[in-house]
Amino acid sequence: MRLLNYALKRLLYSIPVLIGVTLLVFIISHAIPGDPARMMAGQKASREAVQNLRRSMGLDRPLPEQYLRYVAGLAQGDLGKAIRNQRPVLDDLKDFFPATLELTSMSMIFCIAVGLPLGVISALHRNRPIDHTTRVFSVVGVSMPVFWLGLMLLLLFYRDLGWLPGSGRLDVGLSPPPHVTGMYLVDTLFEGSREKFVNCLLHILLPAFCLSYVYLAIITRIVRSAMISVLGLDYITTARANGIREAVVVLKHGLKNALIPTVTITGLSIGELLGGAILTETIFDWPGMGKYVVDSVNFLDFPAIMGFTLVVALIYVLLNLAVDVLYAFLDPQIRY
Amino acid sequence: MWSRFRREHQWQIRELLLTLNLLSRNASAVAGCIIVAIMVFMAVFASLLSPYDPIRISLAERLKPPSAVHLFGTDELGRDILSRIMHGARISLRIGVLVVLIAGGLGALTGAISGYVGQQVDNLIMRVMDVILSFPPLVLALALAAALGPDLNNAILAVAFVMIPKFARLVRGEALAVKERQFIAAARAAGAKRLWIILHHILPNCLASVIVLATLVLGEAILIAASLSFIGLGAQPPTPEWGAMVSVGRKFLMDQWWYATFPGLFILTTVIGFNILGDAMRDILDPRIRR
Repeated sequence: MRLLNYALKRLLYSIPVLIGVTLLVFIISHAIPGDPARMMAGQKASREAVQNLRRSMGLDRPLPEQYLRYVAGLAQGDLGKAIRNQRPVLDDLKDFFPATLELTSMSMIFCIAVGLPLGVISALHRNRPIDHTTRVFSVVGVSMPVFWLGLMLLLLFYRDLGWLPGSGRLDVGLSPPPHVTGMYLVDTLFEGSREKFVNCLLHILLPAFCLSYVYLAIITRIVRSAMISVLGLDYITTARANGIREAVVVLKHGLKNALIPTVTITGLSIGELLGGAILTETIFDWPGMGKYVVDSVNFLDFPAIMGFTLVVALIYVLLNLAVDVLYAFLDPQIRY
Repeated sequence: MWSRFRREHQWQIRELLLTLNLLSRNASAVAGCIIVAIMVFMAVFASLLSPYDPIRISLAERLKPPSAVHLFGTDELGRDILSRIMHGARISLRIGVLVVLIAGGLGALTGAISGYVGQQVDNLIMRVMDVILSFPPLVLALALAAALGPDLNNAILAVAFVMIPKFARLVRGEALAVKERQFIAAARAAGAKRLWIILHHILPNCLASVIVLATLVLGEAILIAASLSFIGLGAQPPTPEWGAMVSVGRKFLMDQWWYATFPGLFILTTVIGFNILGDAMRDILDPRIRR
């Protein structure tokens, strides 16, 4: 009950932030460019055409009124029309979202499957060679230009070794699975085609690893420091003195408590992954929202760019909210 | 005059010497310093060091692999990649320094005001920072840079804007602690104005942690700005910016591996340099974990 109260309070608290987010995106899209109508119409349009467009878009109204119209539109799911194909931006994003979701989920699995054990091992062997190696690995991770890492992975695994495919979600010869979730790994399972599933898996490995490396580094460091501080506590010594097996002490008593800070950072990383996806999807020609926004940048397609920005911010805020509630659930000592 | 300065600031000088001493005994700090020093040296003396003109086109020499003549090979217009990388160091460091100056200046000031003045002002400023932090950094920088137009200076402004909350939050926290100290009460009793106290007491007391954060942000700013250039929103050709070089090199990846590889390697190395230096400085300047 108290948890529910907290969750509701936290939800109310994020309303002003959400309003702020829409305001910031509105300012960026309406106030900063010299003339949105001119940009929409393109450089070659006549002055009259621009005037007409300005009137029909309501850009001749005062800014506060424009903002209210903008928010009213948002409430109905109206993110504007993409200049490129004149389709509603929301429809475009819906089409590209599953690919991004698939890629970020796979990266998250990598992050946890590798980062967690690596952090624990480093903490257990503090200041020994394996710990130093992990440290170097994480410093390189947080300093890594994702787009360059992607290219280097392509050189190694695609060009030189030929182990993995270089782009896309499926081999060109294979037809995409029937649309159920839009995530090929899941859809091929529904279709029951083992060959396609394996093919999808091979395609996702490189981009998912590329995207996960930065966050892998962060998660490893957090788990390491959380484990070190937990393992120094008295109850761990007591457990050891009672003759409990070391593996049980570390995994059950230690890791369970070290997981709390890890949850926070993992939740926040999912949001950050959406940023990294912009670069990864471009390198690996992965047809997700990130590639969509980079293509939009090349066309100077502002409604598409701003729609993407807003949607990602919304996801980010909601994830933050979820993480906070989960945090309170995991650690009963924390109630704000 | 020197002796008077030394007498008046003897504690600051001792603290500085102690810090330098601790830094020189910390292996990763030294490594970070060396990397940063090499990059700065390369940036300052780029015109003297670089074997070729970074933007002169020579089509006879196009896409030559690394050799004794062109250590890192040449690009599609026959320009020497090593020379372009050396000049690129100038651009990357300028991006990093400008971002830190703009974001650090604005962020520290708003943070100090927020922490010292408190109440409504604090609430308003911090909610604005919350909003900025509600976007993944690269996404917001991309939207801003796109709205401002593809240009290096616009990319710098965009990245700086995204970095403001980091400084603001840090300085606010420190300001909250500093403002309870007695010398602030003394200054107020002596009739000092709020702004004077913020500029002369609050901000100088936050300097150490701001410098540490600035070192870390410098690396991050170089990384985000390079990403923007890679997308096509930062430096425009023929500027020898590292991210932009990787972006063009990508088209030649399968046959001319050296084109994208070397500029990216320099981005990575430079950012590593700033990151380990910043981490080491944080360990040393924070007395709680000082060893």
